[in-house]
Amino acid sequence: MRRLRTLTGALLLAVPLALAVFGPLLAGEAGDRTFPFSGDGPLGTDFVGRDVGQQVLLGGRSVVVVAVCATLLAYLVGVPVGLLAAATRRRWVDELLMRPLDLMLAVPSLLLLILLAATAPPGPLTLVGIVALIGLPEIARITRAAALPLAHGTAMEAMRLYRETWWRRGPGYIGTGIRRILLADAGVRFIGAIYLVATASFLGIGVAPDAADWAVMVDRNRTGLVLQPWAVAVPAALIICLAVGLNLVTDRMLVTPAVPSPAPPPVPATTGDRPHAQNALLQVRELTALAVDRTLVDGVSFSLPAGEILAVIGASGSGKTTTARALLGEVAPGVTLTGSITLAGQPVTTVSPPRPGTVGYVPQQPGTALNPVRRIGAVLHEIARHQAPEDSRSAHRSAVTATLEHVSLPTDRRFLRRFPHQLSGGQQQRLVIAHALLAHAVLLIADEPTTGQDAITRNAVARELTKLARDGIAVILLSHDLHLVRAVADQILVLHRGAAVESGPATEVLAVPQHRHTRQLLATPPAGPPAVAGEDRPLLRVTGLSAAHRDGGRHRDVLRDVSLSVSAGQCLAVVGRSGSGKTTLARCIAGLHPARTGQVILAEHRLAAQLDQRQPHELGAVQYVFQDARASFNPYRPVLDQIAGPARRLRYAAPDQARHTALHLLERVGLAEHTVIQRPDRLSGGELHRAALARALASEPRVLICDETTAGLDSVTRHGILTLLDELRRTLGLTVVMISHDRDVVAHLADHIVVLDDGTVVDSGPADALLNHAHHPLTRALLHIHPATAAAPSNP
Amino acid sequence: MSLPRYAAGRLLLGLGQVAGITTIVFVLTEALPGDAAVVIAGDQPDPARIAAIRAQLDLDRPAWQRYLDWLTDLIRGDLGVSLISQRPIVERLADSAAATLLLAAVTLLVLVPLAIALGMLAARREGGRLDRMVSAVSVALYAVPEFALAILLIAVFGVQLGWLPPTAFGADLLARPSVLVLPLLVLLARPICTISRLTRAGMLDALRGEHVRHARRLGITGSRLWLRHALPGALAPVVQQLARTTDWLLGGVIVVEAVFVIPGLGTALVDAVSTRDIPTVQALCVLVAVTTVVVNLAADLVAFRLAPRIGAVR
Repeated sequence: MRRLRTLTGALLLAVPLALAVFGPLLAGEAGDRTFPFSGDGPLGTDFVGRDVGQQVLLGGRSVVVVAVCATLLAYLVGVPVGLLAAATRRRWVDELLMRPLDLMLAVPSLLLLILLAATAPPGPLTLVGIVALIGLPEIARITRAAALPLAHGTAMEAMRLYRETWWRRGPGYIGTGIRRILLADAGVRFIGAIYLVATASFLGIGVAPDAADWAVMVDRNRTGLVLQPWAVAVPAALIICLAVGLNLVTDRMLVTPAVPSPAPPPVPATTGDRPHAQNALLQVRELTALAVDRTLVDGVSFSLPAGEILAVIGASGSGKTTTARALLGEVAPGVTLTGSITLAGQPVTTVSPPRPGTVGYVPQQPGTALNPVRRIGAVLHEIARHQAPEDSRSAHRSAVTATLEHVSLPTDRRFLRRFPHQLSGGQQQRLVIAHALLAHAVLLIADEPTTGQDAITRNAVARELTKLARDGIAVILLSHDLHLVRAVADQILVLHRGAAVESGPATEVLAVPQHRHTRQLLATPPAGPPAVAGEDRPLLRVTGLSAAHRDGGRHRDVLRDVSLSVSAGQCLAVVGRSGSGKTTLARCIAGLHPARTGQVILAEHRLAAQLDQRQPHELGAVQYVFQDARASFNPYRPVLDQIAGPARRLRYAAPDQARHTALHLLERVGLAEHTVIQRPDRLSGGELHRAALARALASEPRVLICDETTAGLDSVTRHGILTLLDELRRTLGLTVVMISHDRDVVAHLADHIVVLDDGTVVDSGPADALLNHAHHPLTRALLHIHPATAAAPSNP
Repeated sequence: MSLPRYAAGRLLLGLGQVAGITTIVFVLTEALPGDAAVVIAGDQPDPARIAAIRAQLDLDRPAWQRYLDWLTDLIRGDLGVSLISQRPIVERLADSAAATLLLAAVTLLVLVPLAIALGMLAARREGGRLDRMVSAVSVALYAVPEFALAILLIAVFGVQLGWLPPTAFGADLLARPSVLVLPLLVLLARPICTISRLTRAGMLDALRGEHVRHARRLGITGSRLWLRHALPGALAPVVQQLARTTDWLLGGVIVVEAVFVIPGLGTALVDAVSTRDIPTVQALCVLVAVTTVVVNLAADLVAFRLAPRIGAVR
């Protein structure tokens, strides 16, 4: 279908383009003029008696040539303007460039055309200029929008940290990144230019009134439409062919080739014939999910009675989410399910999903499950009404109130009139649970409810889930958060590459894990050996640091008068809730975020607040490991080149020397050469984390700043990274500043801990003291294993 | 960000835009090379006429003074006097505005329900026959210049078949609605493509979205799911595109009025440009610019209500 469309487009386009290119060559000498609108010649004569056939041959070139020139000119000016606006870190430059362009966009293009044409001398050059000027703002805007995330993204910050050359940052990274978008857009721009040029010519703008031009012909000859239709219809048809053909052809470029549609129709899972005798609410037998090229879930069986919590644990990609989706009767396109699922005596398949409302699903990002456009109260009432259509309004209202109270959400009118985006993440999560409760769910599936959350939120979630189970709802918890699992699970199912490798009561599995993989998952990182005897002299000092974020034109203080110091060879952990300013503190130290006041002092030497004002050796001494390793690499260049970068740029090593250093470091972090000569997209998340560490080490830093380096990784991968980091810091004598909210990470690495809350230091001290007997309530909440069970002896 | 705050900020921006556009219009129309009066006089460069133009435009005074005067007159609603007819421009605009407004209003009235319905129908069965047809036609039609389409339609329906009047010359638009059919078709062609495609894409996106699936799991199905849960999210970009469409409509109206001989604002603009009637051109441009800004402002406010998160990002 699409191919046919493109072919039609190409054919339609070929005729006018061929005429535009070769027509003037074939036209020959102009013949004598005869009577206007007569039938002489193949297509008759026009309004002044010229041969229409010859005029048609002559008239295509001007439209095409003017449109091509105008498009090229618009790109020549628009792209640099957009790039400059995107790349500048000075806000006023951006404003100065983009505001006038926005203003031009606010004026209808044809009006602008007429206005400009009224003031400039007519002629093809003027027309080129005007059409280019009209196309320019949109091109600049698209360029800026495409380049902006690249110019201020993590990969660019990583490159700035080792002062990568301008050539590699600009054309190499941003240029490659925006090339595809601009190319896809160019077709549309050219069509727009053709449209404008033709319309302008028709309105008599920018061309001589008797010019041989298709659009002018249409205008001039339409008075004789009844006498001599060819003189109008042929050029009009040619212009339409040009526009339609171009659009059909470029449309193919715009739409990326569609993913092959899910060819195999969902085979209804074979349901067991006999009713299951057990009183389990949920029965899953031999559930298998097959994608085109691999097995996602391989023969998983389990059962779950009402009122119990089953924790499904496993590394990322072990099939947790696919299993959960199967319970909802949903599969990803191209995946087939076999095996049987029985919920409350009813078979569940992709064709017969569970009865609406019986299964609640809380996605990892609960906000996505909420309709962004509707007030939360309206949706809650809609669900209540749907469940009991015959009840009165007041009955619905009381049902909603009771449910909200149950999940500890406010019930006042003001709250109900909010939109989902005005709720915190935890509130959104509880709201989704409230939806499920209102719909009388018997099974609730929670997908990674605590990923990226601090310990305080985690405890709240644990309480919530336990409460649900007490009410007789079966809960399936997909998680790699072992603290949560320990706190709430009745049963545990361990998945490894789609297969259930272990299952049973939580106490047993946790106490005596049978399978090797389970042991790996459950193993708590051993607490590091007693702190290295660091020198007493502080290597890195931060004094009186304050910083702000710009938030909708206003400054919001993120850090207030923060002071801390780290001795050489020590590891300082900075902990705090989300939004407490941890990351901003780390970025200030690295120079990625300009501090408003205060100083960063490295070995009695003050560092400039701005990254670009620091000396290469200062940059080399303080390196930063980003939270999102994948985002911190330039996707268009081999990983190895990027790891050699810091050595090349900050240590002034020769290219092969830098490469040698990089390979040596990569070997230390456990990556082989054949892996790293590829581009980042071929490496796994864990591999990229290792590569990011190697890159940070390539400039032989004295201080390494790690921002949530292991958040979002499954426990096996995380374990590997932590061990590596610990080993590296001991052997290289690194000073580490670790940003984390993960107790395990802190317990594993930290010698010292600083607790941040709302931009100020609320507690600090040696790691042992804070981990085991802290006095500050926040520290206890964040670092003690589980306040509910904190009475149990904490980590020795 | 709350709606009133957003509205206030957006209103300020709109005022800024109008101020900016008036400046651009003035500067552009002032930027005539050489002696403006001679250029404006054009084909009839007799000294008396040049002197008259110079006197009427106050060309002897500095540009910034004239700009300030022009602005204060604008604010008071005085658009000046036409160079050609010597009549107040406001009268001329009032005469021609009716036809243009009628065309634009009827187009929008037909366009919005038709395009949204088409988009939703196409989204009902993605890849179905209707979907493929709608998308093929809309891709093809999208780039066709209005004048070419208009001429072809006139040639076929007006001249060859004789079903519909080929022009609206001298006709009372309301008394003979048949003269409006061809202009309407031409004006609808382009916007209907973009809006139906946007609606379709938005609906498909929304239907795949987690929140619609969540609603479906809760038992909400059928038209309620489509209209209350999926459509609002899909409409936000549509409303903003609709504002863009009014820009096109203004451009399209200029062409359509020229082709079908409808005495509206577009004709007035083309006439004013060809006779170099500078005060009229300025007045028309300001009028169009203000309309555009107001329409975009309204669309942004509606879109904000439809997609409140946009505001949070800005």
